[in-house]
Amino acid sequence: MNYRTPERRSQLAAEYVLGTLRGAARRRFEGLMAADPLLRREVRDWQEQLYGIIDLLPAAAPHPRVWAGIERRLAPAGVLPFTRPVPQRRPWLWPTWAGLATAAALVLAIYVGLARGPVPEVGYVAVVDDGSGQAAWVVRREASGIVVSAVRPQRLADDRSFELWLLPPGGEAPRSLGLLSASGGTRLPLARDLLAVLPGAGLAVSLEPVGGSPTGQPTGPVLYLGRRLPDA
Amino acid sequence: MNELAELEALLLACAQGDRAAFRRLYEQTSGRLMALCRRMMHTEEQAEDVLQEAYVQIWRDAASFDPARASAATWLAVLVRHRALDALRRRREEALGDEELAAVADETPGPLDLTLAAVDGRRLHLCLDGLGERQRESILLAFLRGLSHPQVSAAMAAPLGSVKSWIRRGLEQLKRCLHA
Repeated sequence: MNYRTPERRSQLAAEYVLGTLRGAARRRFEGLMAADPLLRREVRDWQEQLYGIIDLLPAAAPHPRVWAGIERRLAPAGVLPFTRPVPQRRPWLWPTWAGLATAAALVLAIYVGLARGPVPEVGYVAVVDDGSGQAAWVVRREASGIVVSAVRPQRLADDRSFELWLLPPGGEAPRSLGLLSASGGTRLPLARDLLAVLPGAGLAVSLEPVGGSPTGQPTGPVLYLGRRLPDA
Repeated sequence: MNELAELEALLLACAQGDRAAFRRLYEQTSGRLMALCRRMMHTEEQAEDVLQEAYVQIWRDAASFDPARASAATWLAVLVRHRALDALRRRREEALGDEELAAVADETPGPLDLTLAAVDGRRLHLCLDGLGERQRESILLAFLRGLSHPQVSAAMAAPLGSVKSWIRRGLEQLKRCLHA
């Protein structure tokens, strides 16, 4: 696919926001977007324009039971209108990981670290890259887990495996999500508790002995880090 | 403070756990977001369910709002539209398993209401109005129903190639018009 002409870039951005850019083309586009601020700008512009459609619909207040339902959902105990702890903005720290990640990886700007609520998002998309801005995998949340697609085939020695890790917010120990195929897509089931923390968690790919880390924790170098993409 | 700046301030206050700000945000935005839910979903009950789910998520996810990535109004609208699209997809999957294409007819029982209000000074309305009827319809089907090219083609009983070109040219024309 040709991404070079301004017309083509604008058209792909528009169809990305509209939702008609799908499958492999969407994943490739997300890979490009991760490395291209101008393309993200184009997507943002289209988003602002197309969502203007809402202002052309007849607004009318919802029934009061909707607000009552929201309060109930947010305060099951029902003592106060609703309560919850003040969300913590978590700066990205990798206390247990610093020794494993390469220096270059550590200075990557990672902005996936904001705490998110327990509602798993289907729209969640992250790009995993090697720090050069070249996306290696695109991670997409689906109903029962995640799908990790190689943007392009990765080189991998016969006695090695790529292993994907979830880095829970708050610096807990990494959790293995499974091994990645060096090319094509890998579907990984994800426990519900992990799905819930996914949007606020980090992602990393390490190089492990074939079959995965023998210890349950990463043992090889961290080659790739995940960055969350804005929802379209 | 203009409305956009106020929405942004309210969202940022929600991120700090300010419940009064959340209530004000709801009062200021729920009418417009409910309009989107009503247009996308098939019944009032479904629309209310989606809106409720969306506001719960807005409260929980407010900390992830980043003014550099979207205006507050658009961030809210994107979140609500995605919840509505999820709900439409769930209904489709429950009804027909994997036969997504066959589900299109089922998915659009009340045909999509394509009327848009003329709002003074809203260039988008003029520009959408200036599109060919089929261009406009195919774009709105994709946006409001989350249909893919093949699904729009089935819903409009039109060849896939025509649908792709209506959408592509319609978006091009829209952009030219909006930037004119």
